[in-house]
Formats: sequence, structure tokens, C-alpha cells
Amino acid sequence: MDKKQVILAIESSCDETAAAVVQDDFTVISSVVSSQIALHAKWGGVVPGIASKQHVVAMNGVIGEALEKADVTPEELSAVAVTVGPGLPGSLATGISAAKALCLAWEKPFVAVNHLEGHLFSAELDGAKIEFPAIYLLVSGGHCMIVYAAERGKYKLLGTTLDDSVGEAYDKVARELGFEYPGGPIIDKLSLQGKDSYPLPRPMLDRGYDFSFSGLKTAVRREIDKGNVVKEDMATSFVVASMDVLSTKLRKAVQEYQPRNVIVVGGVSKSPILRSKLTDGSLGKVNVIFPGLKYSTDNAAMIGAAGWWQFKTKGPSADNVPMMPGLSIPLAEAKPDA
Amino acid sequence: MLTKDRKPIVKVMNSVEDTAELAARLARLVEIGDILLFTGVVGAGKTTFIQALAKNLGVKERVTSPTFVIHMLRESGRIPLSHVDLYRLNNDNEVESIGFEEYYDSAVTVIEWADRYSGFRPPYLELHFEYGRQENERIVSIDPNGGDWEERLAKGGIGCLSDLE
Repeated sequence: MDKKQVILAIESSCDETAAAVVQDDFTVISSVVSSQIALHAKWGGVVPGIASKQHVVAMNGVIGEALEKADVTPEELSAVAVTVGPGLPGSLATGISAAKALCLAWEKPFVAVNHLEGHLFSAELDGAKIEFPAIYLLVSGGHCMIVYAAERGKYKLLGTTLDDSVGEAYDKVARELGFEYPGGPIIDKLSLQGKDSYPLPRPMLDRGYDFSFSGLKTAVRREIDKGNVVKEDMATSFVVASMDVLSTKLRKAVQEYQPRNVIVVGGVSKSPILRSKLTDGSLGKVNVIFPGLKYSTDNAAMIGAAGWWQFKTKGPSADNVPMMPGLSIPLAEAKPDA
Repeated sequence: MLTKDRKPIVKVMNSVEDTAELAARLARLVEIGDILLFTGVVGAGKTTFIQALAKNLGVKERVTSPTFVIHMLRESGRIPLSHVDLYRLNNDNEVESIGFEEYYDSAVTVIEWADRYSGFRPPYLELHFEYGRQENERIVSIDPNGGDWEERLAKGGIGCLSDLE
């Protein structure tokens, strides 16, 4: 049987150490995420969720497991792709060093991937087909942005958050209401039980495509300071306000750009409420696509897909590409160090 | 962290403009190696102040809250800005695993939710933010701790910011 072409992808931009083996048609052969496997069995200790130096501990095991599960040897790889930014400098450095070392040892091409572009590819893993032009909504703990793509890879950033991401606002409101961080999913669930009774603002609703969730978070805090907050009702009011902002901006983008698809990615795209709200027809005549739940949050499979596309269209990256913790979209050309 | 043998400089900011003016004065006097600790509850204005500080340092990118990613480096300004947020960290061990201290000597370091870590040692400047009575009112207490912070603040027009009050 012919083996398809495969790439090894590595992701370590924040909490997760992840590795994946991905085919050139974006079929995921293996995808290993450190927090999702029993690391303690292998390393004799639980790997904490937040500890960038733990990437050093987990990296080789995660890569080894990805290759083993995929039944792929280093010789069979077409290239090694890795996230070079944006992210936590200490964490990024570990993945980049690993990828560069492997490329040197195995004599494979090196592909530098933007983490945000990885998320944009996440909906296409395992066979989903998307059509262009497309509007992307990237909503996660660290990011909140609307991106227009006339065709694949031609990105125009329509708007981004001026302060907090929507995921961060969720998690902070949860903690203000007395739940443990990260409590975003709890707020989501709780909101199904309450009433939309608190008058919360919809920041920047009429102003272009930019977002601001800090003011919404502050308004919640102000209400809590007044005392006697009904948690369920506050959760509902907050979720309704957040969804209102996201869907209003998306609807505007759909009207202006007439995309074939709206693609909603990032950790918050797991939210059942967001999924049902954005597929209730209110965005207009457009196909709304979400990634598989396991590809919503940070993973290496999405880096593999973005890496494949980049490798095929632009070739390998220079092997002296630096870590780029401040990377954004549209993609700055990956430039080697001067 | 806030030792009470010194009296912090207390400023009332009634508007975004007040915040911008204070941040501009601070931006003129910070140097590579400085550590600024930010404390105060959710929504008290820490990130907003740091955004204004970054802008006045000439940082070109949009500075947002790094709560999720914990540490962001901004290198497009007059001096590099190392922006840290300890909000979601739970103990000193986690804080020490991030590695932001590696940038102490090559950037001005600003740390949000600094009270989540017990290991900061002077010299540093602490800025504590609180809500005021009015919706847009914020009160900041500026506490110079060690080094030549007191002198520099006075020289930079922050020791006597009467026009802000």
C-alpha cells in the first residue's frame, strides 16, 4: 500500500505541548496533546497545566508518541513544521529548538508556522471542505479576531480585540462569580438556567469590526460590587451580551463580504451556545463551519495543516527563522534574523 | 508587598486623558532594567494604563491583555517592553516556570497581578489601581520601592502631579 506524504508538526506556544502527524490532504494520522494523555505514567509526575519549562520535559515523549501512533518513521516525513509565534517566549523556544534539531538530524525541511494561521486551518482537519471567499472568527483565551480571506492564504484582518479576548472575559467573569479558573464552560452551562436581567453593555457594537470585552467584564464586576448578584442571571446576561457582540459583527461581515463560508475556530468555538447561536440562521445565507471539538483548542494537527499548505506554496522556511512571540495576522513574512 | 513606611503617591484619574497623561510621564522616565508591578481588581485599569504606557514608548503593535499567554514581548518601541500577567497562575513555582525574568536586563518589565507572586525584590515601582466613585474614575497609588525611583518620579513630574487632581 502506498503511504501518503506526511508532515510532523510541533506546537508549544502556550500551555500545551503537542505533536501531530498530518497527511498532505489534512487527514490527521496522529495528534498528541500533553494535557490529554497520561504523562504521569511516563515521566513519574503529573505535568502541570501552566509551566512553560514543562515543555522541555514533555517534548520528546509527545513527539515520540505522535510518530509511534502514526506508525511513521523519521525517514518517511516530508518536513517538520513548528509554531514560531505568537506565544509565550519561553514556551515557543522549546518547540522551535526541538523542530530545528530534528530537521538537522533527520535532514528534513523546516517549516515555520504562525499559530493563528494554524487555528484558521483547524476546521479543515479530517476532510471538511471549505469554500472561499470565507470569513473566519477566531475566538479563544488569547485571541478574538475577524479575518476575511478572498482565497486561501490571502488574509485581511477586519478587526480584533482592543483589550481582552472573549475567552478571557468568560474566564474572568467566572472567577468573579466564584468559580475556579478557567471557568468559561461553567458560565456557558450556568447561562442556560438564568434570565437576561442585568443591563450589560455591548461594547463597540456599532464601531467596525473591532471588539472590546474589558468594559463588559468591568460592568459585571460593578454589578457584583453592588451585592446580591444572582449567578445564573449574571451568567445569562453576560453570555447574551457576548453572543450579541460576536454575532452582530459577524452578520455585518457576511453582509459586506458575501462569503461562502463562515469558519469559527479557537477554544471558544467549542461553546454549545456559540455554535447554536451562529447556526440559527441569523447570520444570513451562509454555511457556518466549526472544527471538530478536539481541534478547537490548541493542538499540533492544525499546525501540520497550515504547515503543509505553506510548504507546498512557499517551500521550506529559512533555518534561521527566529521565534516571533508578537506575530499577528496578516502574516508578516517570516524573515531570518538580520 | 506594599510596605507602609513610605507614603505612596495617590492620583485620581477621571478620564482616559488623565490616564494617558500619567502614562506619558512614566514612559519618559522608564529605562531598560526597570520593573513595574501592577495590582488591583478586575477592571481597575491595569491593562488600560499599560496600553497607554506602551503607546508612549512607541510600541507599534496593539497591546492587549496577556492573561492567556502570560508573557508578551513588544520590541517596536523606544525600549523593549516585557509584558507579564500572572492572573491565572496559582503559586510561586508556576510563576518561576515562565521565564520572564530572563528579560529583566533587556527590557522594561511590567507585571499585572503582581501580588500573585511573593518573590519580587526591590527596586521596583508598584502601581495599585482601584475603582473611584464615578464610573470612569480610577485611583492609582504609586509606590516607589528602592533604587532611585523616588528621585526619578519627582524629576519626571509624577511626585507632584497636581494638575491631574
